[in-house]
Amino acid sequence: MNHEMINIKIPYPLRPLCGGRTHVEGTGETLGDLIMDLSLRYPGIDEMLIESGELKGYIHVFAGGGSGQLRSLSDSLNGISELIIMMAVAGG
Amino acid sequence: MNHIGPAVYLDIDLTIGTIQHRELPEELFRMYPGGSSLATYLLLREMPAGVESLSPDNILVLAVGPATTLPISGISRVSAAAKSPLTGAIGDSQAGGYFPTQMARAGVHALMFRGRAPEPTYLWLKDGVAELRSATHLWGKATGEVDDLIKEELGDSKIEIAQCGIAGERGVRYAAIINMSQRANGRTGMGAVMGSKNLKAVAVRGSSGKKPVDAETWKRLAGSIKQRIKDSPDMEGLSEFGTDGMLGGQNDVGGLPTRNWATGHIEGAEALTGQTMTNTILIGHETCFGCAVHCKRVVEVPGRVDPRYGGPEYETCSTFGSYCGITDLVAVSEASQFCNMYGLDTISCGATIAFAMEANERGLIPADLRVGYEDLRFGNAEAMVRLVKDIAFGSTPLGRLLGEGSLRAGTALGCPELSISVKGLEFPAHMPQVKRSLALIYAVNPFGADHQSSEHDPAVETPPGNLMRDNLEQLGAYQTEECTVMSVNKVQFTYTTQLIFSLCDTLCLCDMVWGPSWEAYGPNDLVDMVKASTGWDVTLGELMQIGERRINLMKMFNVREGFTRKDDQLPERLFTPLPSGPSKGLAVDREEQEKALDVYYAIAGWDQNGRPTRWKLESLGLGWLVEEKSK
Repeated sequence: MNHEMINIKIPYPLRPLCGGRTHVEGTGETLGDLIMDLSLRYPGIDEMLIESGELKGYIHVFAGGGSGQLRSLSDSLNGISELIIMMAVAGG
Repeated sequence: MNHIGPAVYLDIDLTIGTIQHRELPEELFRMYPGGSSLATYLLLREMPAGVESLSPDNILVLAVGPATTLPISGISRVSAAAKSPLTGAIGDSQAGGYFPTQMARAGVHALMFRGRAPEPTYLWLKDGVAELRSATHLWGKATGEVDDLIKEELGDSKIEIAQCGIAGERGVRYAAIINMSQRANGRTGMGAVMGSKNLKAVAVRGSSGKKPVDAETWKRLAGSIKQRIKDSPDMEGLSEFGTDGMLGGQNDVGGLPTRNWATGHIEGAEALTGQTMTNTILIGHETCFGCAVHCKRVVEVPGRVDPRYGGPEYETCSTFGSYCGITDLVAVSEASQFCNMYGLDTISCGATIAFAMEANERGLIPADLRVGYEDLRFGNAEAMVRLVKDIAFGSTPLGRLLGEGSLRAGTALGCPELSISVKGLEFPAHMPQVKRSLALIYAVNPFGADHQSSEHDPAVETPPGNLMRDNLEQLGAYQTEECTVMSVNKVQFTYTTQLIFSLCDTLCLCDMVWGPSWEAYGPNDLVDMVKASTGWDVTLGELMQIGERRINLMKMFNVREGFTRKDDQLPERLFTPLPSGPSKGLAVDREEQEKALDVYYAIAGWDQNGRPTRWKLESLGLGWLVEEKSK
C-alpha cells in the first residue's frame, strides 16, 4: 500500500487548475486514486485526464527515474515517488 | 548479395510528344534513392533557374522509392516535385494509396514531364511501355468521373490514376494531384503545374512485383507490425480514429489553430474529433498498399457526402473547422469531398478561407469582390463549403482571388499580415506556440511551413526509458525538455529528426509508420529495411546523410531562385501572446527564434544567410552545385 506523498509534474495546460504550479503532491494506491485525490484540491483536473473511465489517449503518465509508463487507472503506485504527466499530441 | 541496380525513369516531352527511357547509374541512385531527392536532383540537372512556374519550362517529377512495390506497412508513397506556383520555391508533396505501387510495378522510379501538350493529354504506362493519349474528353470533369472513364477506356479496373483536377486545370496555386479520388499530393500546388502542362492524368498498371534482396529480414520486419501497433498507444489510436483522433487533445492543450490562428482553442471541438467521426458518419477504413495501420477514413452523409471521396484527416478538420470557427463535421466533410473531387489542397484551401473570413470581418474586402459572400465570417459553414467550389471553378471574383493563396490575396487586399504562412505556404494545424520546435522547422523547411518535416516536441519531453524516447535516442542523446521550450538542445533535436523525415520523403515511406520516435518502426529498423530491399550495406549515418542531401538539394534550388534568410521568417501573429484558452499567454519569442535560426544554420553547415557552405555541399557529394551558389 502506498500512502507516501508523490511529487507530480503538471503539464502547462493543467497548471491554471493547480494555481499555476508546475509540481503538486498527491497520494493514492493506484493512479486512479491519485487523480481523484488531486481533483479534491484541484477541481476539474480529473475531467482533463479521464474519459469514459480511462486515461485519455493523449495523456501519458510516466514514473520518475525512467521506471516506465502507467497506462491504466488501476496501475499501482507502489514504490513510486515521482510522476510526470504529459499531454502529448504528436504530428500527423 | 544482389543489388537493386540503376534507377529507371521516363523523360516525357509533352510539347513534342516524345517519351525516352533513361537510367541513373546505381552509384548515383544510392545518393538520390527516390522521392523528392531523386526528383530535385533531376530538376536541378534539367531545369534552369528562374523559370515561370506555370510555363512549359517548369518540370514536374513524380518519383517513388527504391522499395515501393514491396509488401510492408507505410511503403506505398509517391513524391511530386516542381517549382511551386504558390511559393516560387521548390515544391514538394507526398501521397499514399495504390498509385505508387502500380507505378513502381510498371517498371519506373520516376516520371519527368517537361513542356506543354498541345491539347489535354494523359500518360498511359503499363509494364514499362508508355504512350500519350488524348484527354480532351476528360478535361473539366471531376476526379471520380475521370477515374471511371480511363478505366473503362483502357479496359482494366485495377489501373491507378493520378490527376490534376479541375482546380489544376485552372491554375489554382494550391491545386493538388489526386489519386484514387481521395489521396492527395496536396501541398505546394503540384496539381497546378500538372494542369499548366495540359497533363490531365497519369494512368499506371504493372505486373512485375519485386522481391526483397534479403527475404528473411523483410519477413521479420513486415510480420512484427501488429505487435508494434499494440505496443504503441499512439499507433493503435491512429488505426482506430485516424489522424483526427488527435483533435480533442490539440484543443485541450490550446494547440488547435482557431479563427485564423487568433487562439488555440474552440468551444465545441468534440464535434470535430475522430472519435465523433467514428461514432457518426464513418462507414469504413481505407488503407494504402500493404499497410496494416488502416488510418484512412471513409465517411458518408446521404445526399451530401459521397464515400468514394474518402473522409477528412485531422488537418482538414482543423483547416475547414477550427481555422474557420466551424464545428460542423458534415460541412467539413463536404469541403473535404470537394477538394478531392476538384483537386485542392485542404490545408491551403481551408487556411485561405479562414484568412478571407477575418479579412471580411475587418472590412478589408471591397464590395465588388465579396459579391455573394457579404456574410462570410467565422462560423459560417454554408459560405465556407460554397467558397471551396468557387475557388476550384473560379466562378466568383472572390473565388478567383483566393485561388491565388492567402499571401497573394492578402497583398492584393493590403493585409498580407493576415496570411499565416511561410514562403507563402499556409500553416498546417500544429501551433509553434505550444510545440516550439515547429517555429523553427516551419521557418527553415525549404518548401514552406510543414508539420511532417521533423519530429514534434512531445518526443523530447517524454522521459527516458520509454518506447518513444528509446527510438529517439537511437539518433543521439537529448535533454528532456518541455514542449514550450526552445534551446540549443531543441534545435539539435529538430535538425536530427528532420534528417529522418527527409529520408522518409526520399525513400517514399510514410512518416507515421517510419518516423524517428512514436511511429511503428524506429531508426535502426530503417537501416534493416533499406539493406533488405536494396542490397546496399548502409549504416544509419549514411541514411541520415541521404536525408541531409535532400534538404541541401532543395535548399540549393531555393538559393538559385534568390531565397535567403529573409524568407525563413514567421508571420507576426506568432509573436503575440495567445489571448485565451489553455495556451493563454504563450507566444514565440522573437529573439529566441532568431538565435534558433543562427544555431540551426550553424548545425546544418549553412552560412548566416541560410545558404549551404561550399564544404557542406562537397561533403554531401553536391560539389556540382557550388557553381550554382556563386551565381
